[in-house]
Amino acid sequence: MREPLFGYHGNVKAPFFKIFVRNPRQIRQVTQMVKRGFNVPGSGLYSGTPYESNLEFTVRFMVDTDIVGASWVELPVGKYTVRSTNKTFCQYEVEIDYRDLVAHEPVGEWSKTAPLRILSLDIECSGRPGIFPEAKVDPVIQIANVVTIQGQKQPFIRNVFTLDTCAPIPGVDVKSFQEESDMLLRWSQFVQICDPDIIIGYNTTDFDLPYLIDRAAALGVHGFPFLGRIRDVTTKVGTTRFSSKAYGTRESKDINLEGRVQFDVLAAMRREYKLRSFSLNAVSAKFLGEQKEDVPYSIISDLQRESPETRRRLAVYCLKDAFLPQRLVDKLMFLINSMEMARVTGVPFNYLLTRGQQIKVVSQLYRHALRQDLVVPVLESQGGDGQYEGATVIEPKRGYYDVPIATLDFASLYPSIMMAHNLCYTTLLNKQTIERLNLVKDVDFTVTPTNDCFVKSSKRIGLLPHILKELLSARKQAKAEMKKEKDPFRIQVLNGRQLALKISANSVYGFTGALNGRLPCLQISASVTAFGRKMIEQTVQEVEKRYTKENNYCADATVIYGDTDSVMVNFGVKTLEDAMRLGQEAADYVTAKFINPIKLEFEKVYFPYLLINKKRYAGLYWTRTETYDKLDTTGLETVRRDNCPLVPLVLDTCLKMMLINQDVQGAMEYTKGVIADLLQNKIDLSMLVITKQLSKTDYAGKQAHVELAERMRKRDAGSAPQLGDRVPYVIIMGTKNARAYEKAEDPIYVLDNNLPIDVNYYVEHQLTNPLTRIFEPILGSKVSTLFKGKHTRTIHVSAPTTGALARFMVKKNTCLGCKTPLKKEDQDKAVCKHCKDRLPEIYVRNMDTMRELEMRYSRLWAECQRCQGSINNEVVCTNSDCPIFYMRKKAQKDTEEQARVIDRFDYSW
Amino acid sequence: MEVDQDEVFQRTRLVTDESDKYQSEFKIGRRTYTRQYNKLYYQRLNTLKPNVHEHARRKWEGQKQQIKWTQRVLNVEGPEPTYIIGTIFIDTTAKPSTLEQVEKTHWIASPQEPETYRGEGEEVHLEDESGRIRLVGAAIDTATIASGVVAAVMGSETPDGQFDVIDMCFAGMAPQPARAVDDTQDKLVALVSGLNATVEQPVTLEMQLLAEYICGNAGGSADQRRNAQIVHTIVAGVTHIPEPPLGHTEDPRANDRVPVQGLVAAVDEYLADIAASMPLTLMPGSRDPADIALPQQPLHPGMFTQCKAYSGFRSTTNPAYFDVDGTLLLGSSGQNVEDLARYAMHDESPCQLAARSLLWRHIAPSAPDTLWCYPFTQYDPFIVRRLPHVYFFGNQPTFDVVVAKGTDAQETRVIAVPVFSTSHTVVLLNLRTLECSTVHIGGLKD
Repeated sequence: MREPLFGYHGNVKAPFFKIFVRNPRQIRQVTQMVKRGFNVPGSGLYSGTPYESNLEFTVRFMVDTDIVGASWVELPVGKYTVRSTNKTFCQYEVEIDYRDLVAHEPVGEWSKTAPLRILSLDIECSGRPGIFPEAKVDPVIQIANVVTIQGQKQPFIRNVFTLDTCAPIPGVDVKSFQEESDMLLRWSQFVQICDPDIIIGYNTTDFDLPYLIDRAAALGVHGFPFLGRIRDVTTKVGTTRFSSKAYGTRESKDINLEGRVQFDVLAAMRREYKLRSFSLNAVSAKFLGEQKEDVPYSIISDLQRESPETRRRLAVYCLKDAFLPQRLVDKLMFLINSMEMARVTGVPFNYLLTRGQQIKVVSQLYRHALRQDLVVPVLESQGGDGQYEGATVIEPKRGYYDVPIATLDFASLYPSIMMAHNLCYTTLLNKQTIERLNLVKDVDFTVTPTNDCFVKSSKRIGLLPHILKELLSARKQAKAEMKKEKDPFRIQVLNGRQLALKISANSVYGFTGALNGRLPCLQISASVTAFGRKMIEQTVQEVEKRYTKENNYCADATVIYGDTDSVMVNFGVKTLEDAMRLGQEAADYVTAKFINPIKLEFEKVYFPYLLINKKRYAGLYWTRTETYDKLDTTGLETVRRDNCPLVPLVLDTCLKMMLINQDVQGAMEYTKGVIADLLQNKIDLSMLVITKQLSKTDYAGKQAHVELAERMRKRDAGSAPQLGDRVPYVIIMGTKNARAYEKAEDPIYVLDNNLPIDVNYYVEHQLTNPLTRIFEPILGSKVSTLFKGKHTRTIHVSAPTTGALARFMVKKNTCLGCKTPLKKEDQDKAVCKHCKDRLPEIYVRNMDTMRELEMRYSRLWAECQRCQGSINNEVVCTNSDCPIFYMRKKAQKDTEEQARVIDRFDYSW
Repeated sequence: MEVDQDEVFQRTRLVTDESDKYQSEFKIGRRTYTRQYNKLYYQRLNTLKPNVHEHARRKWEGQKQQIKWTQRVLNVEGPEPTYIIGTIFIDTTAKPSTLEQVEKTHWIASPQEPETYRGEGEEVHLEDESGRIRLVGAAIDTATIASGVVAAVMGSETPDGQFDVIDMCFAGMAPQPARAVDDTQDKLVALVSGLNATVEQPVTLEMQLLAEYICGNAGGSADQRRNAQIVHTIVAGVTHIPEPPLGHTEDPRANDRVPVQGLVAAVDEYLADIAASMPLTLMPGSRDPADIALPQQPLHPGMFTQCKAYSGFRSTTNPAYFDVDGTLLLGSSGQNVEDLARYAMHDESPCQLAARSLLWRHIAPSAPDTLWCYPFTQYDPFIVRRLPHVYFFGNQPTFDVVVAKGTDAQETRVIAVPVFSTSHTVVLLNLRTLECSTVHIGGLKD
């Protein structure tokens, strides 16, 4: 006896058939059959609506056995038999009836994680100039492997498989092979023997693993593609398309590794963070605080060809790249957080990377439905775009507030609305049911602002509110345990859990609103947002009504902004203490007006606060009166990729000056200074580099980086960027009517040829908009004075050494004192005859510059020599994400140039 | 001050002034910077390797222990004791990181130098052309050794691929040319450092007294008799301090260098007094208007219009070799020793550190890593090819002298020359005995 999930039916159960099949693949056929109808002997054609027929087998199994992801399962003694022949590479192989499995809830002793074996790998392939490596042609030359036990700091295996000989590396097992096929086969055997539970790497799912498999196939290494744990299953490369509202659409490779989890750190990074660049360089610089040497593709083949020592160099680099993903996983706690997420939501671990949010909710829904004897219907995908009204955004009262602004937030707004009003599939009413059961409005059921009806919890507690309640109380408990816990590792685990619980609770609402999802129910989601809007409006009214001069408060409070689940209140007080006190009071006051568990919390005070626009603001964030917690910015495009690094630098500095130092004047002076420096060519080139990925060549419109890549290919096919590379460029001065895309140029080429930068482009197209945005609330229409005025009058343009005009130019020395062109007889002198007496001063001034440049040169190149981990080898790194990459090149140029200037003094004064 | 008018002393003069015989050792010529530092390290290793090997062989092979040389550091294998030769490189978080500075401030400024680079978190490596291996063991952790020193280390590989060092040895002191000693009379060389003339006060009273003293216009007759024996004066660095401009060097306001004219002229006039009575050699120092990277090229003679008139005036490099009356001197303005002090593991005096560098046969091993220097590619000028009889270095807090002795009877006086502007002290080196004495130039307060 079961009850359908959808709609309230007066708590009446009905009989259902449960159909078992031998093979999950038969589910589809059976489903079709039930829908179409089949003949029941004696009673004729019978057809019905199948329930729960679209649940993945894996999740079905886990739901039925009550196993959650990344948890412990016990095989009771005597219930299993050991297999005589091994079909897998596992250490133990047993058979057991699935009903005998004992699943342990991951709490207490069972919350410990297993000592999982993690293989982190990286491969190098030799390519041909200008062509991205193709598995059919280009050999794999090295495979570096680092194996670590989860929870331990140092790996216990470090090895590298190399094609051709390789000089030894201390602490690393170097395995050299003369035949590539031999190397690949032995690597495959290595994977089987070391038997990792998890395989990680950077872009391994889309590059390293498919490349290895394709390459082995191209070479006919038949023993290779058995990387999973089941002996006879070949590992194949397929393509999947993954589409999710939260993560966007992404096409990726799919590789079956039975019994092993693939965890591609690049994919995880893309899910968890928004970054300018996802290159391993950029990511390790950001999270591990270190730049890494980057060997350009073009020289990999050369290093491979030359000698055992150069191959060793490559191997060291390859090993570093194999170890970095492991360190990132540890540092960012990807595994721990994912395990906790798998435990909380009950999905298998590998779903977390390959699947979206929905499956997590589905898994929980089925688990709870099973316990309450509910069956989940299968809805045909509705498609369409039945939009419903979203959250409220209160029109911001823009400006720079140098008074404390209190922020009141509804804690877990949407989950608590669902709980407060008992919104669920199981409580949804329609007119007929109301009439049939004689339900009374406001006694038996609630009418939501969207005129949908749900029975009250006195009639039936909804499944979703029940799930949410469990999630939120589990989160409370995890947070409480965290406070008590001393062991830092356990704290990390608990933190991972409370985060997972929070995310899960919040995703339930999204699940009901996802139209092309499994079980959309717009009555629920539209009601939720409608309640949310109403509550925000009510909060605004309550606050503005109560906190007035009339009620003996020092000023009339105004709500200056509000979004979704928060309102920002200006109580008109001057001190943090007052703002915090009133904030707390107001939160309690408003909370009392709402149904439990809805709670308005006072969380923080912004002081000062810069409100720019909807979803765009910045403020100094205080939770205590002693010190501020952080500088909080929202919606200010400091990470947009088509900005040059100067933009976030200037924005951040300005915001810091305005908010932390409360020095608006200083921020303006600083901005003018930067613009002056820019116009006078004093900004480091690396600050002006814009980077875009060359993803496909058939762009409709002409794009700067695509055009540039084409031009670079014509100059030198070998070093030109390839598909998938990120193309760095700067905008240079072009002819009068040149389009922006014609003016993009390779920064290295710009340095080599002294090409002048189009500084106006940087002022107008890079700095003006973001700066106007943050200064406008303060300066209003006067904001344009930042970009015009005295500070923009001095412009310095470098003279190019190539180009049409350069060929016709005669270089004439000018006096280093007064810049007048030197007469013929003085050409080899430093100064003109009028400046002769000032020679010591002029010399010292030029020496100042020389000293500065010598220091820059020395420090930069010594640093690169250090960073690459070798002093006897030339620095070949091309990591253009590194802030000193262009600087060091420029230091060479500038120092050389200044040395020539100093040479000009080389005569008897 | 009482002067005996009856006695007249004739200044001792050298027959020939050959002090600039070796002046090209540290001259760079046409400078080019489109290169890197790897070749400098490579030249250093290749030049010193045979010398280090020679010493290592004597020390570890053929005696009761027979320890074999492993020719490449990466070929070391297993627990069997062996020795390897390479360049020491100390990786440590204590070194000021350029990258970190750029990431934080987007600008490269002179870094705040720590007191020491050594200790917690350091990793010592030995590198040759094949690669590098990490050195461990107490013998390394407590050794005063600098990045860039070429060394042989004896020990064995640990299971995790590191090299456990038992003992180490270096190139040893270089061969020393014979010294021509004139036994007939005492000849003195005056060593001065750190005049630190500033725009505000170019010539202090003490500087004036110093010039009078050296030239023999001050002191009693005993002083004057001794003064007359001074055959050469060397100023080891930091003569001028044209305070560097604030902010960007291109900033016209911050870059007002007009006052420098007066400073330069005053110092020129001051030095010309000394140059008038004896050969005077000027070395640039860390804050002089000369290069900042070693070897500093000579201060421009154009800044010394009056001194130039005297044939005994020389403007030379830092460091520099001098041959004074058959005695070979090596001088530096002190930057190299100052940086070495940051690698010291014991309470070693600057003189002891400088003496140690002679044993390494290299006076500036920490260049280019932590000591700024020019990117040489063909040779390493800081390698000591011929061992000087005297090695002095300037800008030290106090005077000090030690005698460094080599295994082949070499002997070098290592002299720390104090900063004159604070110590008011000049060092007199006797070329006959190589003994040193100091003279304190008293100002009004004394």
